[in-house]
Parts: sequence; C-alpha cells; structure tokens
Amino acid sequence: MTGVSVSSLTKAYGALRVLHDIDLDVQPGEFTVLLGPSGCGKSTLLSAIAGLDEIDGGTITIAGEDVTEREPSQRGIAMVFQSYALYPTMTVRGNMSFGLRVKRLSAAEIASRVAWAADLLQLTALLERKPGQLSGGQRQRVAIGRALVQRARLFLFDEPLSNLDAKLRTEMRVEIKKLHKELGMTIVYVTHDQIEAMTLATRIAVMRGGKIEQYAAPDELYERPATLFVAGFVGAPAMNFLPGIVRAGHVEIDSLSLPLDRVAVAGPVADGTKVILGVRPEHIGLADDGAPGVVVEAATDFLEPMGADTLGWFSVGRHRISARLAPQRARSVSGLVRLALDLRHASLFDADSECRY
Amino acid sequence: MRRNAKWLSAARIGLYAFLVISAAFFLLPLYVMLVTSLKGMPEIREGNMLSLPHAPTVAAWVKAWSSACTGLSCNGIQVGFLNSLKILFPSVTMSIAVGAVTGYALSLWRPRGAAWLFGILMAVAFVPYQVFLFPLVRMFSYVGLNSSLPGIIVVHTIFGLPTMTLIFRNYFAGIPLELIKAARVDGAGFWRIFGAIMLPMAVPIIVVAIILQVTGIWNDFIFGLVFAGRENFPMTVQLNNIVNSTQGEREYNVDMAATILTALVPLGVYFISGRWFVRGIAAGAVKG
Amino acid sequence: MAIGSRLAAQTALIPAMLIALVVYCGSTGWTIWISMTSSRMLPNNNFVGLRQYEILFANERWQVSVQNLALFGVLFITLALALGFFLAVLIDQRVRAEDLLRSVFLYPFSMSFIVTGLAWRWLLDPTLGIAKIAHDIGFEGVQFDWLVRQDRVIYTLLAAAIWHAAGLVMAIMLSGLRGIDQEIWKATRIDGIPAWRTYIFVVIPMLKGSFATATILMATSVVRLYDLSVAMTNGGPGIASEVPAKFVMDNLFERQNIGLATAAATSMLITVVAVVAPLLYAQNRAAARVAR
Ligand SMILES: Nc1ncnc2c1ncn2[C@@H]1O[C@H](COP(=O)(O)OP(=O)(O)O)[C@@H](O)[C@H]1O
Ligand SMILES: [Mg+2]
Repeated sequence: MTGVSVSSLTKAYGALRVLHDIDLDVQPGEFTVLLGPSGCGKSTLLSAIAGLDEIDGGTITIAGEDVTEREPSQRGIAMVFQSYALYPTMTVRGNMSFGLRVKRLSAAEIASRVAWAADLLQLTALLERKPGQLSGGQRQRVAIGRALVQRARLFLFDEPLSNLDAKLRTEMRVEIKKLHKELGMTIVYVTHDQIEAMTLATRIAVMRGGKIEQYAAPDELYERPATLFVAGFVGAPAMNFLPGIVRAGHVEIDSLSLPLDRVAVAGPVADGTKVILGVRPEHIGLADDGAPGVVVEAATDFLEPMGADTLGWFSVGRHRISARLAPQRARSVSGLVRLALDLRHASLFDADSECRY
Repeated sequence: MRRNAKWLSAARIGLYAFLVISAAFFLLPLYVMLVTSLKGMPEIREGNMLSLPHAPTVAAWVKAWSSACTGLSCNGIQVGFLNSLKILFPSVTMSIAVGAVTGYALSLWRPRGAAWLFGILMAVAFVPYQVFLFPLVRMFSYVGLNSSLPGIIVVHTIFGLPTMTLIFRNYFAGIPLELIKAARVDGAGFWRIFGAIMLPMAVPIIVVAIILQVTGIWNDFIFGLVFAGRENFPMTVQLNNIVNSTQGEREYNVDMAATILTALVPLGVYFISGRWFVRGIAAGAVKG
Repeated sequence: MAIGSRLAAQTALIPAMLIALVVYCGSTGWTIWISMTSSRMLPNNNFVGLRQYEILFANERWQVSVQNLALFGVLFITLALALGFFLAVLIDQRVRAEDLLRSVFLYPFSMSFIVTGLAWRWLLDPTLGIAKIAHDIGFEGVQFDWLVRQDRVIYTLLAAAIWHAAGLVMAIMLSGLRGIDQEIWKATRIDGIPAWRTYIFVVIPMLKGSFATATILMATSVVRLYDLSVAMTNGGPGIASEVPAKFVMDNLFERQNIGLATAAATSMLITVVAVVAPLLYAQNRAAARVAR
C-alpha cells in the first residue's frame, strides 16, 4: 500500500506556466481523480508523478520515499494511457510481458503474472493477437493488463476511457471500479468527464488553469463546492447561479429578497457584499406540489425532457433558472408558476473571489 | 463517372493518342538499346537502328559480360558487377543503420545539439559534392582509406546520412509519444526502445530506405570513380570505361549490352517495388 | 529523463556529429581555404586572396560551364515540370492501363545518368542513330547532328535529362492529384467551371507542395549534373557541353589545379547557399511556429 504526496510542484513549458504550486496528498488505497477541463494541466501533473516530464520545482513522494529524481521505472508505478500506447508489433502477451522482461524477471514468473492478469481481464483467448486485431474495448483491457502485471504500488490512468463509445465506457468504468475494490491499489486517474469522476473516485481533485480548486470526496464536492468553478463544473444539469447583494441578512436579487439564514454559510456575511447564490436544479420544485423552500414567482420558458426527469426552464426576473421536474407533472406546467428554492442545500459564493462562504 | 458525350469521345481519342506517343518516346531508348545489343556489327552499320535484328544473337551480351576491354584488362563488365555488389551490401546496411539511429535520436530524444546537427544535414542535401571531394580524398589518404572498399563504403554512409536521417526522423516523429512514455514506465532505455519497439515498427520505412539506397548506390558514378580505386571500380565506372576504351573499332552492340546489364539491378528494384519506389523518392525530398 | 538514456542518445549521435563536423563543415572550410591559396598540384598555404576567383571568372571553360548550367537548369526544370504535370493530368482522367503507363513513364528514373547518357548518345549518334533513319527516309534537310554541334549539344543533354526525370514529376503530381478532395470536383461541376480552368485556377495552387517537392529534387540534380555530361559528350564537342561540376572534377583530378578547382567548387556552393538559405530559413520559421 502506497500513498502519493505532491508538494509545491511547479512546471512551465517555456514562458507558459502549466502547474502552479500544486499540493496533493493521496492516501494508500485511495482512488483519486484529477478532474478538470481540457488543457488545465491534468496530464502534466500525472506525468510529473510518473517521472515522465522534468519538473521545475517541488517534490514528489511515493510510499514515503522522495522519488523526485527517480526514473519512471524506479518509482514502482504502472500507467495506462489515453491512446493505450500498445506496442503495435508485439502480441498481447508480448505487450504485457515487455516490462517484466526488461526487469529480468524469470520466465515462469512472467508467465504466471500474465496468465493471472489475462484471466482477470478475460484476455486469455486473445494473448497471441496483435493490438491491430483487437477492438477498442479489448485494447483498453490489454493496456490495463500491462499495468496490472507490474504489481505496482501505484496506478496512474490518463483518460483511459475517452476513446471508447458510451456503452463500453460505462462497462469499463465498472470493471475498473471492481479492480480497485478487489486489488485495493492506489490510483490516480485523470479525466475531464465528471460522471466518471463522481462514480469512480474516493476523492476528486478539481483542477483549473494549473491549480487545484478543491480536493474532496464526491459528495462533499457536489454538496459543498468550494468555488464557483467547481460548482459549475460538477453536476449535470449545471447549478443555477443568481448574482445578488447581501442586505440585512437577505440576499437581494433584483426585486427578490431571499433570507440568508436558510443558507448554510460558515460565518456572517457583511452588508453590501456582492455574492452569487448557487442552487442545483434538483433543489428547485413546484411550491404548489408541496416542495420545500422559499417561494418565488416565475414564468415558464420551455421544457427539456431528459428521460428520467424533465428539466424545466423558468424566468425569474432577469434570470433564467432550471428545475428538475417529474416528467408526468412537467407536462402540465405552463405560464406563471410558483417555484420553491430549497436554500438549505444552496451555496453562496463571493462574487469577487469566487470562493464559498 | 464523366458522361460519354460525343465531343468527349473525340477528346479521349486525343488523350490516348498523346499518351501512346509519350509512351513510345519513353520506351524508345530502351528498345533501341535492346535491338542493338542483339544485332551484329555489320547489321548495325548498314541497317536501320529501329529495325528488329535479322538474326538475333547474344554474342554481344556474352562479350560485354565476360571479355569486353577497359584499357588493358579484358574481363568484361562482370568485374564491375561484382565490385558493385561488394560495395552495395555494406554501404546500404551502414548508411541505413547510421541514418536510422540518428533519426531516432533526433526525433524522440531531443539531445543536445540536435537543432544544429539537423540544420547541417539538411543544408548538405543541397550542396554540390565537389565542395567536399578534395579534402575528403586527403583525409582518406591520411587514414589509409583512399582507393579501398572500406573507403567507398564510408563515403556512401557519409553522403547517405542526410536523406536517411531525414526519412527516419520524419517517420519516428509520427509515432505517438505515449508509446515512448509507456516503454519508459516499463523500464526500457534508449537502445531497448529502439530495438524492441521502434525498429519493428519501422519496417515500411526501412523498405523505402533500402529501395532508395540500393538504386542510389548502384547508380553512383562520381564516388566510385574518386574513392573506390581501380581495383574496386563499380559497374557504372566500368561501363563508362568500356564504352570509351579506345582499342579497335567501337562495338555498339557490346556497349549497349553492357549498358543494359548495368541498368538491370535498379530496373529490377523498380519493377519489384512498384509504388514504393515513388514513395521513397518523395520521402527523401520532403525536407524539414 | 533517464541519465543513462540521455547519455545513450548523445552517444548515438556521435557518428552523425563527427560526419557533420569533420566531413561537412571541415571539408567545406578546407575547400574554401584552398581556393584562396596558390595551390596547384598539392595544397599549399600560400594565401593569394581572391586571385583564383579572378582566374576562374576569366576562364572561358568556366564561363561556358556556368552558362550551360543556367540554360540547362531553367529549361530542364520548366519542361520536366510541364511535361510531368501534363502526363499526370492525362493519366488522372481514368485511363485504361494506368499502371502500365505509369511504369513506362517512370522507369528511366531508376537508371543511372551514365546509362541514360550512353543510351541517348547512341540514339542521337550522328552517323548511325536517328540521323541515319531520317537520312534514309529522305529527310535530307533535317540535320540530326545536335550531339556534335557546339551550339546545340546542350539540348541533347536536356532531352536525356527530361526523359530521365519527367516520369518522377508525373508520379509526384499524380499522387498530389489523387490527394485532392473529390468534393472539389463536384463543387466546380455544380458551378459549371470547365475542367481546364479548374486545373489552372484550383488544382495547381493546391499542388504547391508537389511542385515544391519536384522542383527541389530536380534543382539538386541540376547542380550535381556531371555523369550525364561525362557519358554523353564528355564535355564536347570542344568545351560546348562542359558543366561546373565537371570543371571542378577535371581540375582536381586531371589538370592538377587544385586552387582553381576549389575556387569553382566554392562558387557553386555560394550560389546554392544564396538560393537555398532563404528558403530553408522560411521553412524553419514556419516549422518553429507549428511546433510552438
Ligand atoms: N510539450 C508541451 N509543450 C508545450 N506546452 C505543453 C506541452 N504539453 C502540454 N502543454 C500545455 O500545457 C497545458 C496543460 O496540458 P495538459 O496537462 O496536457 O492538459 P490536460 O491533460 O489537462 O488536458 C496546456 O495548455 C498545453 O497546451
Ligand atoms: Mg490530457
């Protein structure tokens, strides 16, 4: 069992600073997901942990040992790449055993590890094939198998599922989760897909512009986003944002005035502060059906059926907000309605610093 | 499909006519060489160069191969053929090996000095060889390589380097970087990655390189003339000497047989390799 | 990055670096130096400034060589490009026996200049070649004796060179043409643009890369033109088909005039650098921009 600890990590490509003073602590056995939009530095951070790119500052510790100066192969890691990076001229068996042969393991040991991983991933029948003769999902499993045979202390995944179609992605997600549960290895996993992050992670580090905005468990992240960016990035459909000003214990949003005491904030907010109130669509309901919360008048704009529920779009003053409604009920929604905003689950952000109160 | 209107069919007749006439123009020299080589000298002197031989004979071919004279020795073009083979195999191997390793190091490892090295290599691809010849002859004399088989092999390696490096560099640069990263995580180093992963993937470009170097080295004249030495003159040099040897009457049939014999290897490479041939030449021409 | 691997990468470059430094740079420097000495049979270090260049440019043989190369180069590149492109366009019209035609047009390129030169020398032989056929069938007026006419001999080299290279141009152009999106053709047909206009105004601009590749290949072979002249005419008649590369070779190895030969080689080098350097610079700038 192995933890990873990254401290004060910085990295620049020429004048472009890609990672700003990153600190990250991954506990042994943890499944940490690095989540963020494309180009925010996730892969760079993962490469730094792997030792594939030189870094400009900071230290990386794996299992309590400072590995900052070590070779990738000396760090006790295994890695799965976005393009799978299978060696095209080698068979599946060759791909899985290459690293072990480089490390001069005995033939018997190599054979038994490959057999074990192939069995675990249902690759036994495919061992003599070349990557070109495999489907996308099979290649993905080979890439994971190649990592598994290393018996590494730490697994690094860089967007491993992003080249698969939607159905396979779901299946592989389940398999990866199962592997983690059965084998209990430490995983650092990069993705830009928040559903993948929410379903897999024990903790998610949300990144933006080379910084970690919040590092927390999925529930915490969803319910108590630390910044406006995290609040907007996590959750689909996205959180509603209503800009306003704090006056006398209320948030004033245009002509609306919502009582602040219902919102769970850490401390008092000074009068005159510009804030942004965030409410998730599932915390907005129809007051006439008995939904809890502060009631506001709204005009129905349009409805988006999404299957399990329907997203209703409403105008509240100058703002447009969305609410998650039951499909049967939504069919009869039109014209003016009374919406209930459940402020107990709402988040309040400072408009300037974009941080949560 | 383009419509088969009447005016179009007239245009197509013109098109085919032009293509056929062009084809005839391109085939003419080969045809003339061939029929000339199968005629006897009297027929060549009196007859028409385009006419088929009355009594085809391979006498000229036999003589060209085994007893045509260059200066004092009369052992035919076979001497040159064997010399060319002796030059060809090591030169092709060496030039491809050095070019592949250089291209690999340049494309995937960013070593120190890579930029200026590559710049020099590219510049040399345009420079006339005459600039290098004299100093190179002196250097080779100094280290005892001049007029020797190893000497000409080294020269082919030296001047094959820019093109070989370029095609291998371009090929390796197209390989996804993640593959190298995966190999590094697997613990493989520079040479291991080269041998176990890159070379097996590079088979197509190696074929291209072989085509390019076999034709290039077989067809070389100037390096063979300057660096191989009389004992090792390649076939092209030998051919030129046979044709220009001043002994006796000029035997055009023997000359043409020797010429065709010299062209046989590259022609064979060309017809066997088909479209790869063009691919190779184009790959060598795309700089940068 | 691995210390070991980095060392290995650096080591792997040693042969190439040695060749680049010693052979390419070293020889060039040495050649330039000799060209400024009074060396004749053996190199000496007797500095004479640009004396050899004065001699060189006053030398009739050199003047003829340079003129020949200029004329040959311009005509060869233009005509081979034109013929090759035209053949490619014709072959692109879905003709029968395409593979056969391609092979026929391209096979000369696989052969050496020595073979090419000897073949054409025989074909154009003033007594037994095409000339004799013309004579035999009664074309008394037409003289096919260009191979031995001082004012025409360079055109015989030109014919042989075009025969050698046109197929290559054809092949490069054809693969360019095949790479053009079929939708372009559909679009121009919907717009009612005639095919020849499409070729001139749409296709040729799109084939810039193919033209550049073909031109680079041919330009390189023009500067190196030597074997063809040796095999076909050996510079004759007189000095009418001399070329710069041959001038250098003759002065190096036969006339024992090293100073003059290196001055000629340096002049060739300077010309090439003057033409190529701006192109390479532009290309490098473009490449650097892409890499960034
Ligand atoms: N080799 C490189 N050279 C220059 N810039 C790079 C390089 N690799 C990545 N970058 C830049 O660094 C930033 C972060 O890249 P990356 O870590 O790959 O993002 P992510 O994986 O989050 O999409 C991007 O802006 C990208 O353009
Ligand atoms: Mg990435």
